[in-house]
Amino acid sequence: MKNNKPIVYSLAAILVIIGIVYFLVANSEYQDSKELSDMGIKGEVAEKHFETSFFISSGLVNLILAGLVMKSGRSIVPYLATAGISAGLMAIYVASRTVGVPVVGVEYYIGRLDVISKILQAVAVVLSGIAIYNIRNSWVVKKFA
Amino acid sequence: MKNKSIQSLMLGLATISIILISNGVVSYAQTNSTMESAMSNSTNSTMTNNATSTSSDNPIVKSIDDAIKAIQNGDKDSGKKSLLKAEEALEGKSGLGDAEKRVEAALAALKDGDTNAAISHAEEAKNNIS
Repeated sequence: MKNNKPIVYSLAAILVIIGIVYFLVANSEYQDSKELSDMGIKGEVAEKHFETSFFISSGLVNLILAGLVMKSGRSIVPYLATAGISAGLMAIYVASRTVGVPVVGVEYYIGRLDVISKILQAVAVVLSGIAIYNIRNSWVVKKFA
Repeated sequence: MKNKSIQSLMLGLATISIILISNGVVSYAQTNSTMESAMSNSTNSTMTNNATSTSSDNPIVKSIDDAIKAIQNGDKDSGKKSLLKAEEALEGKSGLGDAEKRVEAALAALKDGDTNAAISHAEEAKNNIS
């Protein structure tokens, strides 16, 4: 049976870092909304509030996933959830920079934190895939042992 | 052996995490850093010609032009103020949504310290208006 511990620890750490990145982005959006509110740009303020809520939620989800991965044992569910949610967040990001997403529309700027979080999410998807493969392999080995 | 590799992996990830946090704090505080001034000065020479060649009576275009000039001169605060002024003027104007998004992108780039991107998005905003 393959040892999944290095994958579990590194995946959990990556998810925590992604969570931190989302909180940093949420903080930045909140600062922007305060500034825009002071200027009386109300349409933009509502959009920024939506983005702040979305990024806080995403950060929390990533922290929860990190906890679930740490406690996963031989279950593949946390890894499936991690891969699905990370891929979903990446898809939403690509849509926001190309065809547009509801409420926000199309965004043109690709920031440093965006790039870092997308690379880490891609790594999270790959690590989840490897973990699922290892666990399923161990099931097969047990069955035929 | 495995424990050592896990430890070094965790150490690496922790370092990335610290860098990210410090980067966020620093970028929030470094509105007038000397490095960015140097960057703006370097873009100054290459972009002056495109930025100021078009003059317009449109107050939104004027605000964007002012922003570009300020960014080129290393005055990020004035650049930001002018971009916010342009955004305020663009709000709710039908058919100018794309220009508004470009101004927002310029503001985001400016916040990130990417003056080249800020100027290029501001130029795009101008193109979408005129």
